[in-house]
Amino acid sequence: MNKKFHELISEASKVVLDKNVEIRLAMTCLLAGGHLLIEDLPGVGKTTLVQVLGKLTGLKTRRIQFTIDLLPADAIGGQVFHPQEQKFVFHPGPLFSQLVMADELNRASPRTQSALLQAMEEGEVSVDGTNWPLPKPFYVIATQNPHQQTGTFPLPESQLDRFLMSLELHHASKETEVRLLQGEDPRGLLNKIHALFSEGEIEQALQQVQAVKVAPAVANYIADILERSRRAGFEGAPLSTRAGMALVRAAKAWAFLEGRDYVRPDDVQQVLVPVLGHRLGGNHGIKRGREWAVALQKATAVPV
Amino acid sequence: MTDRKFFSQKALAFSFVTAMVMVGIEVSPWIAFSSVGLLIWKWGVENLKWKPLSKKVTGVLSIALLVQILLQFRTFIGQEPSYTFLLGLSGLRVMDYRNERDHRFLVLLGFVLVSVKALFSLDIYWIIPSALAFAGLWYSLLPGALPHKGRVLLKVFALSVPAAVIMFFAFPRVVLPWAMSRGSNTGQIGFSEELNPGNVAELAGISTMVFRAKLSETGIKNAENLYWRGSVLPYSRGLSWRPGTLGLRAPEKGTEVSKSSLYEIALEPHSNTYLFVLDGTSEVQLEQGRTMSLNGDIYRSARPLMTTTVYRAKWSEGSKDTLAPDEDYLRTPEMRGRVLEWVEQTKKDAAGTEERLQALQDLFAKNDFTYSLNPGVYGGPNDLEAFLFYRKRGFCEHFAGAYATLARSLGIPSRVVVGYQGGRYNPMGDFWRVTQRDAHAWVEVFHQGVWQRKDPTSWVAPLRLVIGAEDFFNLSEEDQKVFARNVQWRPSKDSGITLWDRAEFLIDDLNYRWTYFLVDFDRSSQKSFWQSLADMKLQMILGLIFVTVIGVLLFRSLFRTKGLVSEERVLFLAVQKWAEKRNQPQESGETPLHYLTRLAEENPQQREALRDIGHFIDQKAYAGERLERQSQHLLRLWKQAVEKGS
Repeated sequence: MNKKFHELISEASKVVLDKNVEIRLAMTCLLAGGHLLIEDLPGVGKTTLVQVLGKLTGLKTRRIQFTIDLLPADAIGGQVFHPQEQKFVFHPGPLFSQLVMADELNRASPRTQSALLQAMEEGEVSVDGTNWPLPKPFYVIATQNPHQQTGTFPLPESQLDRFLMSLELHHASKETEVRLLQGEDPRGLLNKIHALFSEGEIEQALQQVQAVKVAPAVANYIADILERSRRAGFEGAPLSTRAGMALVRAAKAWAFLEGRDYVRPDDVQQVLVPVLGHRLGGNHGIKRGREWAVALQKATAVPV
Repeated sequence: MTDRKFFSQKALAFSFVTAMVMVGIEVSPWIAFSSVGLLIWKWGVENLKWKPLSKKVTGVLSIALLVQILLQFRTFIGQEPSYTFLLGLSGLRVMDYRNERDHRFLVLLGFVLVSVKALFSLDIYWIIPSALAFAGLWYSLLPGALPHKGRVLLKVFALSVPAAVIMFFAFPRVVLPWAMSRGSNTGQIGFSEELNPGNVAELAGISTMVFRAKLSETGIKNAENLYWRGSVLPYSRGLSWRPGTLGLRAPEKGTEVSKSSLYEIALEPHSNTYLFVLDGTSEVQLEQGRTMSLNGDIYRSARPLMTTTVYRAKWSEGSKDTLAPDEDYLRTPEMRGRVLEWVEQTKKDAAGTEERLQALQDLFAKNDFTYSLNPGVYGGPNDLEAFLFYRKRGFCEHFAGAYATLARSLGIPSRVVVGYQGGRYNPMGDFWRVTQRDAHAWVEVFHQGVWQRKDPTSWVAPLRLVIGAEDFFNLSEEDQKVFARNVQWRPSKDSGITLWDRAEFLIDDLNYRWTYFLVDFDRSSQKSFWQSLADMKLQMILGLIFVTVIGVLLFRSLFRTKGLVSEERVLFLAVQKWAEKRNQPQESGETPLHYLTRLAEENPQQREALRDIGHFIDQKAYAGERLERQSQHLLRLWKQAVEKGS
């Protein structure tokens, strides 16, 4: 099964150049059943990444561009009156798809943000007292502009916590940029690739990830990391138990991608910065958080 | 204590209550009962949803406890106030038990309770519950997540045993002048400095043990012949006798080389310095400078006997005191009334000393004297007359006192000896147990150049000497009177030794060994232990070393996994140590597998071994494979690889 994912990653790398690690982490996040937050400047390839992933996984992909005047109903959908049948009928919004790209999430008003985040957490939306389940798998990739930029509503810590991972997409290296500038428009390439997964396969993989084993030694290591983040003198926000559970889920998915049915501390370290970056950063921003995450990893001894 | 589980609370509850009960026996009833009350209340809180006391209330109660102790004892210092405070505090803290911190505090308090109790009473009866409570407290400290708690505890205990044994024998013993005594209540009453009528009878009413004696070498089998000398009283006041200065015995000149044998006495602490010895003892061996040998074959300790004291003494059959007395040994108070008549009459009738002694014996044997524990009080101007001619009821001290005074007035130098007579033989441990019941007084008269023992009790109540004090005083007063002179008579008992007797003997024997070998293994015992080790043959020592080596090997195979350290950890630590020597330390935060891979790249000669170790750690620690016994093989391979490389 994981071979298919490797194939996907190599295919995606052909379109989104120089973003190997990020693609892999994005897949890890999907396999762990979490949601992904990408923070970076416009024009570094966020949208392309999402589109490629959507296409290759065969998931139904929608994009919601968040603006300050976007209302919750615009994303979720709403009740529309049908005059013939004399009743209101629910029209699902763009949120009702398997892979949702929430572009520039921090430009939306807190009210709209929280509507989306609630849907992410619960896997269903409720409109006028009726619950509508979202399709499965449900994977949100949200992007946000660096929080210093004007016209943003920064996400509060409690809502940042709903994202399993956060990523930064850096500017491509010069060589890559040269290739990009010479080569085809990535959007053109997009039309040439095809889905690698049939319906239900992704969900099956998600279940296999759940079955990955976590040995006591590894759980101990994660507990040590949490404990260390709570010690006096550590700058970042203290980590919650939920953060630890997120770390376990992400490490399991990473181990699955590696083709193993058990987690090594090495897997934990691979996903540590993306999983903990935004949680440690809090209102200092993801960038600082990632630095602290690296420091935390260095400071925590790995037990045998 | 059901929903809050940090550690084993059952073990804590069991051990803590045991500790509290042990201490509770020592304190005044009010605190014992209120502690039990608090325990029951706590039980009710946990099981029947009673209302618990708030921390505020228990705090106030703690202060009230302190005030009460101050009012009751006027001090906080000492055994009883501290027991009381500890016990009260324990009850209140049990009430407060809520979280992990309280748990640890209770464990600490439990340790204090157990050790305080063990410090003050070293009897084996208390050692067993103390040890149980101690183990339970340790057990309750082991985290709940530990899978084999009992086994871990046993392992730790077993591992500590060899070290403890070595420490016990080899640790230097020092006697600190400020060291704690074993409590004031252990200094038992004994003979007072003078022999007043009724003193010995009072003593004989108590069954506390005085000493144990091992006499196997002397060959004495009969309780009748066991006269344990305590002190000699030289001053007569008629019926009662007073002590006097005896004077240190001059060192013997020509030591007669008669057949002598050693016996051993383990003396319980008592309020005097008497070292009790068998009649016929010529030398007492205790620590240097601790014994004083007095005239009259009396031995004293230079220091108060605060702990159980073990000493050896040399005994030879027929060894008698030959020191000639001065005229002080003829001094009596003035004789009056019928006593004077009797003395005058006897002086006329019997000319020689032999005859006079016979007349004295006849006086006691042929008159209807009653030997009794409750002879009543003698007093008044002529108590001797009242005793000898009117009431005729007395205990050994009356007979001895009267006999010796009469003997003096007849011109025979005499003195009263107080001590013990007989004892109870313990066939299990082959020792004699002498209790206060065996308290006795007899007379020595100087005749034909030696001091001869005369025991008037043996004419009045010979049965007492034959069957021993314990059995004799267990008879009813009427039986005592009727059978006192019937030496052949025996109390109707089930034949032989009953099961109960057997158990009693066994426990007493255990307690004796415990005291002798463990509690009172002091400086002198230690010295003699090492001395005897040095005296042993070389073969013996070699044999001992051999046994030790075998023992060590056995232990090694028992604990192959090196205690609590996992196999993979042992391997990894071995590699880590090696790499650190080569200046290739593990970076901070580096995973073990990454480190091993890096080392394998940097050290091509050990690459194979490092890869194998990495694989083993990966499979064992992370994949959860049960790869038992592989680590030994890997460790060997690893050592080979290292040797090859160097």
